[in-house]
Amino acid sequence: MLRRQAPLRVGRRIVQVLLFGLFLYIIWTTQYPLRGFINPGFLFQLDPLVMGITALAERLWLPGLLWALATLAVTFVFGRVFCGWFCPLGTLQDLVARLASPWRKNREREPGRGRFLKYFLLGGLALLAAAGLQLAWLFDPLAVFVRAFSFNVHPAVNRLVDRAFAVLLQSTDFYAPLAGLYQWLQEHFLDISHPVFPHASIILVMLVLLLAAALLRRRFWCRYLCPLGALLGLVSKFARLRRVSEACPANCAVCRDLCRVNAIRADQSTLSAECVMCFDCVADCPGGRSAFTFSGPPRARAARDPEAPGRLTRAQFLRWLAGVLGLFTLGARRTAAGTPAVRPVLRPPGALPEREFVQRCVRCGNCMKVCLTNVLQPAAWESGAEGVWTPRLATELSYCEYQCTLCGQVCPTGAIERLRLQEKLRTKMGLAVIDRSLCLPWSTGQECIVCEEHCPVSHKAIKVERRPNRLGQPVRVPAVDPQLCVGCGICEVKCPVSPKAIRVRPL
Amino acid sequence: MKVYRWFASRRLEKLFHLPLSRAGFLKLLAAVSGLFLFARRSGALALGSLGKTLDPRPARAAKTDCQLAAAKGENPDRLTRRAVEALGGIARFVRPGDVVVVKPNIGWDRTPEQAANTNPEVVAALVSLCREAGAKAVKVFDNPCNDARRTYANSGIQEAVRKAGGQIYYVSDWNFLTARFPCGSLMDGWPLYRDAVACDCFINVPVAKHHGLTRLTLSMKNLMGVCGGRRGSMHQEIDEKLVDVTAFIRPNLTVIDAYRILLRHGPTGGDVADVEPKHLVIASADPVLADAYAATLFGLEPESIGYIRLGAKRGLGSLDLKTADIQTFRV
Repeated sequence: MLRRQAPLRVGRRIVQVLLFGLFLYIIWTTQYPLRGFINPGFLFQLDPLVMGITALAERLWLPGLLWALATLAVTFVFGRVFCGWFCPLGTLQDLVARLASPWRKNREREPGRGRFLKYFLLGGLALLAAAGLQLAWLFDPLAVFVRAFSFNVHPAVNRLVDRAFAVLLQSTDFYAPLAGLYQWLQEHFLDISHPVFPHASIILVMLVLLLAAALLRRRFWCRYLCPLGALLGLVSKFARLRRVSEACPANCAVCRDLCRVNAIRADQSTLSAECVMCFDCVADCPGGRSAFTFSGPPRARAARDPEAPGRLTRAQFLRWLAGVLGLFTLGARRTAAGTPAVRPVLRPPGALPEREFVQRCVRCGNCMKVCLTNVLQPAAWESGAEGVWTPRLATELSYCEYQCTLCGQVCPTGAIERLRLQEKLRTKMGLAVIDRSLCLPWSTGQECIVCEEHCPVSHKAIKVERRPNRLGQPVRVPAVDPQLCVGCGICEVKCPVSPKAIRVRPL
Repeated sequence: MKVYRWFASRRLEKLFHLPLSRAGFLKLLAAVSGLFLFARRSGALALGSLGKTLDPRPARAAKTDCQLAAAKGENPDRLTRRAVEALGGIARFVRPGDVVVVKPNIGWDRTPEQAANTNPEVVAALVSLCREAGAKAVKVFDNPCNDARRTYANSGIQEAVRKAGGQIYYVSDWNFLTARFPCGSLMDGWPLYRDAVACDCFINVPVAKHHGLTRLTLSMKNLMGVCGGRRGSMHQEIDEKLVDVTAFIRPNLTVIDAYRILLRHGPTGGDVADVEPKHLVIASADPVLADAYAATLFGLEPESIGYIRLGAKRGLGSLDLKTADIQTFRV
């Protein structure tokens, strides 16, 4: 009889909920003035997939890699606790699966070979990274979760609360107390700039599909797709903490059906690479016959029986490999063939040179979430297929706040440099160009110069001169000084005519 | 085919051959239109267009001991108190139980030394004066040009007002209501901030500084901070529009912060070399007179500023500094 380890699961549940809450708190507070005590970039530095793949693709040592290595070390000792206890996408899948539990019978079969898909995905990502293309951003679970949260959930919650208050404040007579509460919320909770990400719903679709799959099969993503799970699995195969089970005369298979990642075989042996350390099997074993221990017997090697279910034959392996490689080669040809960006786009202040930038950016969305003015938007195809979801300065929507350096502070990989204020003030993002056929003073002789008024450069990058305009009328007309203009775009946003008479162009 | 037949036989029949009595039909119609009206109303509410409008603030005459008071010295807090005292004290303007709006310039993400926003000590002094006079609430806000969080924090005004016991908060787009300006005004229908109009006493506290279009930003220009909408479109025939807004708001008291004035590259500034310390605070119940006096600090004739000239012509105040009762103090 093994010692009962039921408290392990209680502990896991408590920690999981707390860490999920902490995670949400950190991403929610990724806004001015960044008062969260943990930098949101740090979350991604804990992630060995994005850090490793990015470092490999860029062939350089990223400071955050130390944290990623720490995660691997923890995995080596305790197994995939990252997946079972910390990963927000895992927790969310658990919650969703729990909701559906009354209708779903958990019947698990012998672990199938679908689980190898994630290793192929990981291998493909690593190969592409070796070829210089970083695609970890597409499949990384933290990025998938944070993106959907920052681009969809947070703006929606923000907007809903704001609208609800707007209706209440205008239609009831409790103006003073409601306004007080609203002001308090604005101070501590709401984002007063009401972020909107017009083309980001596809990001939510990815998360929803993933959760829908988790309704049908618990931890679907973790079982079959997650390349981060595959990476951690490779390490946890040799983890110190492992499950042992006594001979089970009843062979009731309760543990196998309990297992959310299908890591238990019919003979009660465990796939350490799959196990996410949820401890359901030890807590609910009717006979109390399984336990986790650091001093278990060495990993039992399954017999090399090619016909055993869940094993790949050599031919199958080769076919899979060929398929995956072929797919990724296609992708690589599309992107690495040196296809130039469709057209240069405006990038956040301190962004690395374009080519480097799109490889280094892991599309976590932190910069766009933290952006004060909501000017940073995920690119669609503006900078080509390589640049999908990278941050772009959408000056048609908003402007870059002159003295703000937040985006660089939350970037986990340094794709956006951490600029000091004095550097930021001199950083050129683009150049404002005036269209004299649209500009009011130039084209009609009306007074305006709103662009000059708002120009934040202390000696004004927009100069005003009284001179004859296109019609020969003497009027004060604006002109851009290319030496001083940093391309922040406030002139474009505040320009009263439509289409805008002053626009920021990429350098 | 099978599916189609099933669909056609069951669903469509049910849809189109619905047995419905006349009374039932009328009830259905009433329910649907009720729902539609409710949705429209809720939609209108949610979009903030309930049809609420704002009328001009009523005048509230206050007798002052002199027309304009200017205090010169080192401490902005004491200057403000002295200037207001010289007019006869804050009690001339603020009555116990009043809701007071103090409207500083918090338009830009700049520090007090850069003189693009009102000096926080001047604002704080006014807030505490109002509190001392028994005001129920002292509200401070501005519709800034840069991000409100940064302007409120970096101007130092947020912290100063909180310490002085005032409420400082961000303006919200849904709280701008359509203002009913006199017929023919270029500003008719422009959205103004509800709290700025629905108050018992309005104190305008601008900073005196350079401005590219209007030459100077003074008290009348500062009222742009209670306007919503696309304010870029106010810059055509701006003088007339500013006078209209001033006539609409009718500030009870104007206190111009000329402790530091921005001489060039306004209204944003940013370079302290463009700032000149004047160490002066001007108070008056007459916005035109206050602006006219402040214009002389820049070496400009009051008549050369469009909105001052127009304001005097429209009878909002006087720009005649020679005949006005002006008192100056050293503190």
